[in-house]
Amino acid sequence: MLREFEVITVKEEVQNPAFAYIAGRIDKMLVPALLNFLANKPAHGYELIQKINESGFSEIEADPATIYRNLRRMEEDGLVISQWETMHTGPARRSYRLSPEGHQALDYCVQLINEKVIKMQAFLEQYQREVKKS
Amino acid sequence: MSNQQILKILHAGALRKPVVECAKLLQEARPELDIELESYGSRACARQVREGKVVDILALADPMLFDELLGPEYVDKYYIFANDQIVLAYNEFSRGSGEINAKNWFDILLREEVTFGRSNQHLDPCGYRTLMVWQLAEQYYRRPDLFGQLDQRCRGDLIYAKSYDLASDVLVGKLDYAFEYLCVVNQFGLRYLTLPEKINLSNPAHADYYNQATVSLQGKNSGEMITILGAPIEFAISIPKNAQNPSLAKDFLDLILSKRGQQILEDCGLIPY
Repeated sequence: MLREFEVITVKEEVQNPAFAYIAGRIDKMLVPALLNFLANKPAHGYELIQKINESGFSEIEADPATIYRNLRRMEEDGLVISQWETMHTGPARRSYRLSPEGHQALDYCVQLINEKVIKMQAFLEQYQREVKKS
Repeated sequence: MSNQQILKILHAGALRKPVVECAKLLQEARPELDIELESYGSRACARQVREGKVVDILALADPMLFDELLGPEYVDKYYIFANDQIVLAYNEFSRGSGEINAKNWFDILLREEVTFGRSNQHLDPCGYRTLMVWQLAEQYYRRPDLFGQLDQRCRGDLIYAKSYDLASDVLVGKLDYAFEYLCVVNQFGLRYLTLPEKINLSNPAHADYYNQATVSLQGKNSGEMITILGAPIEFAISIPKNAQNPSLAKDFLDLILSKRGQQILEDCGLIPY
């Protein structure tokens, strides 16, 4: 029963344009990495650029233009919410946090990544079994 | 006429176009409003405020200036709103431009017949950032004394008060090359060479590497010198504490930080936050 429920949920999610965008670029791993960092705690772009580069998760270069363009798109798609992090004094930066839909998007990313891992594992096993053996 | 409201904006020359575009939008919505714009190098802007100039909006090319020269007496809060990079600007007739690339730009600049300029580090952040780019280039390209050679060739009249004037002189052919912000190059429609990310001060991922570059500047008080470290290029905006029209200033600030403002900044070649 649980499996049936999961399948229905995913089908509904895929119809969301933001989810289709994520699915089309899952190999680049940039959006999953951004969602993953923001799931831990809100952050501003400067910090996210540093984290993405340090982590090595993303397959594309995390230059500022790419990161901020993706964050703006994610906000338009309702996956993140931004607000100016204003303290009483000092510097203020735009801070991003994950919306409930962003959490769903992260779950969707994890499912897509799992599927890819299973397929790649199967590929490696077949290679070991049929090519490497000979 | 006595009730006419005036919004006074003092800004980095590099921000001229986005500030003008936002000012036009605000004026369309508030036709009774009179907007006065003035621009200098950002250090010069900050010094003017310290010396008593009263403005409603202050937009600078380095957030550090708010802490170093203006806080807490003149400014208590500022918004870091965009990012940029240093590029090498040129025009279609610049000597050596047909062969210049990211591996040979310094050799071309050091040719006898080639002229290049930068802005004054004491007046304009683009000036000290250019010196940082040269220092980082010496290390990145493993060219001993590259900084000294570039510095020796770029003296006197080749050092400008603000980066915006440099771009103008490249456009008319008075200079072959200039170290500029990408947003200024875009505003003038100049050609440019993108420098490697490790030296162009664009990416927070390389903040530690940029930190190795240092420049000495005149400090807050006469005769005082300070040392500043390389950092990713960012722009910041504030409503000074002594603004005469803080409510109007808030409208302008909200506009430049809004989605519409982000689009204007991007159209002008900046990376909006």
